[in-house]
Amino acid sequence: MKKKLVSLLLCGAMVFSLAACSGGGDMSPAATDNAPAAETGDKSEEAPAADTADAADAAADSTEGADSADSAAAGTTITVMASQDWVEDAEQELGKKFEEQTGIHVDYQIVPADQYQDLLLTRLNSGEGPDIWGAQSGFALKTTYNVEENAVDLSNEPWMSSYSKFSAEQTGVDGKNYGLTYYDTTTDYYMVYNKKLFEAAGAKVPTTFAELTDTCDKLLASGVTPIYEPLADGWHVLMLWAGNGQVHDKVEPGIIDKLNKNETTFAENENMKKAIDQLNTLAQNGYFGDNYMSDEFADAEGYMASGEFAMCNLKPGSINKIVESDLNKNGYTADDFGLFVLPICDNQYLNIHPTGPSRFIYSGSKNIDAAKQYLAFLLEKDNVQYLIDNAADVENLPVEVGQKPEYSQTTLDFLGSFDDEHSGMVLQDVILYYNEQWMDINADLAAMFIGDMTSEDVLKGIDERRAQLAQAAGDTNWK
Amino acid sequence: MQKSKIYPWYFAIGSVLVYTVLSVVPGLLGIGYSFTDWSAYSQDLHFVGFTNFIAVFSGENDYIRYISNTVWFTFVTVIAKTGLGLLFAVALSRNIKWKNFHRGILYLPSVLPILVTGLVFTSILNPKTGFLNEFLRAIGLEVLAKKWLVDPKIAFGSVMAVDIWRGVGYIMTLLIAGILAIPGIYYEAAAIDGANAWQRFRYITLPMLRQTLAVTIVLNVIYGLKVFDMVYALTNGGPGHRTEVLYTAVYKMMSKGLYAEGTTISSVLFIFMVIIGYFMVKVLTKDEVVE
Repeated sequence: MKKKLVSLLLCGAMVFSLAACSGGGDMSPAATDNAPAAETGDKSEEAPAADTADAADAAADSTEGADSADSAAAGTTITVMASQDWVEDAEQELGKKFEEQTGIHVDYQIVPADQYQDLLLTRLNSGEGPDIWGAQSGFALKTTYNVEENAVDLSNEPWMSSYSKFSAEQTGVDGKNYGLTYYDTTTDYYMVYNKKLFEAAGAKVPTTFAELTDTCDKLLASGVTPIYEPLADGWHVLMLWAGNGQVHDKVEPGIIDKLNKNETTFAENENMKKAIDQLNTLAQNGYFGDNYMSDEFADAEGYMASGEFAMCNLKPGSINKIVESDLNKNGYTADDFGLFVLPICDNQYLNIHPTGPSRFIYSGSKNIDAAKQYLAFLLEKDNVQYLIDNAADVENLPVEVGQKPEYSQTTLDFLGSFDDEHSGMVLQDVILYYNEQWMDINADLAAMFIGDMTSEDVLKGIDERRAQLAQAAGDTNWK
Repeated sequence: MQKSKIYPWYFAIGSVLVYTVLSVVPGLLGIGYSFTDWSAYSQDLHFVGFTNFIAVFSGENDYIRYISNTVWFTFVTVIAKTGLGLLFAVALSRNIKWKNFHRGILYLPSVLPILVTGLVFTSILNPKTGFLNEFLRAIGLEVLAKKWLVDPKIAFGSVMAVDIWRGVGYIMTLLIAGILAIPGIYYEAAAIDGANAWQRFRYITLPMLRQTLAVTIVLNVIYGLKVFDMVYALTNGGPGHRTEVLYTAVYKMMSKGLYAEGTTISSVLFIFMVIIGYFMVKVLTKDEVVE
């Protein structure tokens, strides 16, 4: 008996000590934050002004959608599987409200970002998908996620009338819509910078890569780490290139088309190599700091608020989270932060990115009605507004249900400074078999930063995986 | 009568059948799929010969590095777990104070799920905010504070160290059982003959433990070659691809829907394990007495 007691105590002590060890050093801001790729829809269509004539109708449609799905039984539990930054705390609050109204419990299965895609695809490919799964919209839906097999056709859902046409194109395949982009796709990721730190270092907002290195050098000299670049999550760093890759088509018109027809490769393109080399320069020059390999995206706003870092590639709505962070001991206000596009390859074009984390209902789910009811519930006017009001970094959603967007003046001024001529689609939205290997390219970039690969290797790797994916998909251009 | 003739052959039919259906057939099917273009992108299946195997061994991809990483991981962890396990087993099979407490402490890590251990150590080993570096800084040993899981020079060593920490208690327990099964009379006789501690260990404990050691080494080797969850949870193959092993590569292939490529790597490992396992059992049990 005595020995058993000792064993039990030992087990308890062990688990407790491990848990205690793991708890330290949390820099995470209180709320979760938005994810991998986000998106600027068509500014003319989804622009900050928002209120439309049919907003009321759309809202009514949406509510109707919820009513029409009443067949789902109370007491059901639906699972929502998503990457760690795709579910806002505010959505989880909405999930509780949904349960109160319908008796349907929502179980959020949130997976670390670097493991999410592998885990989701393993579950889908083995026929064990969650009721609702999250994925980036765009090309990869057909190739990577086999959405026609793995998702329910949502084309006839009542909320379709209020859903952004741009987003519907990105969550659809062959004229059918399979998903709902539940993410602020009206803006993309841009460089958020701390004006006070720039001013103190005598640095200016760069418009060329040479200016960027000059700015970073000045910031370093002033004791500030120039760029917060979280590599631990395995998805962020590639956005510094892909999210500014619109420059490639501008300086080399037709390059995207050639890549998609397999008439050229990444490896033989000098501008692509230049872009990758410039990323490497940022890392090798110490502009990302000492700890970027283990820095996490969830800590970005906290570190920006602390004044330790001067800039980070973030959604404009993140400025609110920076200002509200507990680590904002310097009294920064929203006016202390600005936006600019990262001049990789001297890019000065605004990134347009209408795809983003979206929700799909698993075709093998036993709770399809309940899942549809949940999506319809999320798009009710009050609930859309609740998310905008309570998720600090969400300024709008790609729906029109009569909600009031919350764009800051900084965002409006920034977006307003680019016309259509100076805007372009990000690489992952226009190049085939690119987004599918997002995590692989990020891993290759990390390998380049530690000296295991060269920029040529990275580009060659992209070409090889594109060929592999294209051949598996039976693409005739790769025969 | 020979021991092997005690039971009639048909007693084995049931187990052989279950083993064949559940293990041999899937294994052979897997090898068969390695010669096709099986993927999630097409319903058709075509025979492609050795194309997938050529891709694995061509050196154009990183598979050779993943194979060498896997073998290195296996080699280091087997040596360390067996060596430390034996050391602790010998120490804790003597009548020392709080013997069971010490055994419990060493065994406990083996009880924790590997993924939990991995996630906990990801946090402990965080270079900036992790407990280990914070502790080292607090006691003035900042020079020892490293980027444990992201420095390419030491990341794989860190993964192996965590795995050794987790696995050594289990090996120790098996070896303690083996040591306790050695009749005390041998030690008494040796002591009367004037044998010192090292001689008793060298000429009694070690030879008598050969069977147990053979089992633990084979178990460790197979575990090492199949390692996945520890690497997955700690580094997911990073930084870059520095800690990638064969099964993390298989997992990534399978999750991409490239089933044939994943199955090919898996088949290579399967064949490798069968060969290694066969020779190891043969070598480690060569002096086994047949009654």
